[in-house]
Amino acid sequence: MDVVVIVVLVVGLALLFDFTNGFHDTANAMATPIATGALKPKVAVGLAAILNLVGAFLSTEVAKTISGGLIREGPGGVQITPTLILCGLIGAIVWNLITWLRGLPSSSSHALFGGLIGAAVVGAGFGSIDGGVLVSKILVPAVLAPITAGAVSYLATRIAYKVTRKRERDTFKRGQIFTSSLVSLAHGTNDAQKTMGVITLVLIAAGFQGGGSGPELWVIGACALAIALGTYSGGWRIIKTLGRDITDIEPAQGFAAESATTATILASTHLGFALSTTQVASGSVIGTGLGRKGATVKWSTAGKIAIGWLITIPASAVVAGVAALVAGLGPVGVIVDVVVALAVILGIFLWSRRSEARNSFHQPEPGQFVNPKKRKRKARA
Amino acid sequence: MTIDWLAFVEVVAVALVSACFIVTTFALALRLGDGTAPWRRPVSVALYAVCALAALFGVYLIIPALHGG
Repeated sequence: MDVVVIVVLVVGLALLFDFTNGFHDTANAMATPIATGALKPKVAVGLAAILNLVGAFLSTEVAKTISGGLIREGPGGVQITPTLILCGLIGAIVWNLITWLRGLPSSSSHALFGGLIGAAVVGAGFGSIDGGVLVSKILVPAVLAPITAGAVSYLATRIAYKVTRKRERDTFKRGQIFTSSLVSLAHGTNDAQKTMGVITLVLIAAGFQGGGSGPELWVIGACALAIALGTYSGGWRIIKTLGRDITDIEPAQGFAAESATTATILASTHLGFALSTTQVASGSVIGTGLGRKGATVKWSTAGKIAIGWLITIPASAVVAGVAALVAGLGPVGVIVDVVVALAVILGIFLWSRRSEARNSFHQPEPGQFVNPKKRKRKARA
Repeated sequence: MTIDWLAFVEVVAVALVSACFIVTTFALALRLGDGTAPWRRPVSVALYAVCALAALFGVYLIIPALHGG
């Protein structure tokens, strides 16, 4: 099958992936300021979209990890073929949509890594993956980043509550406008990068670019735009669902958590660590929930969500692996893969329109993980 | 397999210091802004400015293009 066709397919699917990434991550930054009233929904969503766009242009470290680090580039060039990258993307998108449909909070980023790894391993053997990069720039940060964010958020929350008196805390709302903006910016610097990395990888694999080079300008622009559009479209769903679910989060907590999230993401991006913004945001939220006096953690819920996270890389790897096996049968296999993938995507999309209950977002909110301090008793007594 | 452990320490340290700095500065600005003593107002405003500058500085550090990194 003509390489150009595969490359075009990969670019198209990658941009779709980027779009869906923006779509379900808007909430990470904007749900809390909308909930506390710091920002009007339309403004929040518009702001998030613009900042993601800007953020995407700011740094290319993460893209380089994906395009040059993870998959080994052997003496004859990259050992992964464009077809395998296509399979990896299919694995990622399909798994991502399945978890979205089931309302499971999961990381788009991990789905992407899992997909690429699964396809590479099936198609080119274990040797094609650089273990060192996998561990140091993906796996360890995956665990360390949410913990860091949680600890930092916890401390920041304590400080915020210690230093201010009750009546002053409402003004944290104004601060939230800035911290949420920073989270969106940080998100753009980390997440749009991953798609750029994949597109660059396929261009290198197809020989259109030299090994070890960074993303081209058109790639950066296209990915930035895709994520911004996804962010903007995802916003409308938040507005519909927000009323029900956000529980006890005070502006001071939002401020602290968002500061922690931004700091962790930006520091990691700078070093080329590709991490899951959803998981970092969740870590911050748990940290801030605990930071407020008297809170306890709902370990069972946290546990369920943790399991969801753990299975993402293997699950998307399996889907991608299967796609790679099918693709290995020849051009017919590739066609089958693409057709089935598109059918699944369309099917999931149509199914979701039917069940309106599927508006849950994977937005990590304190209510999910943490029982806040009980106040009602005091009022009654 | 070589793992750069120092990088992780860097991330934790930087995140910790920067986030706590921003929150402390902002919180202090809020606290001081609440008082009636005349010296409090300008200090409060100054702290808000420090906060904003710190955030901008952080963003500046991230952008390789801005400092020839």
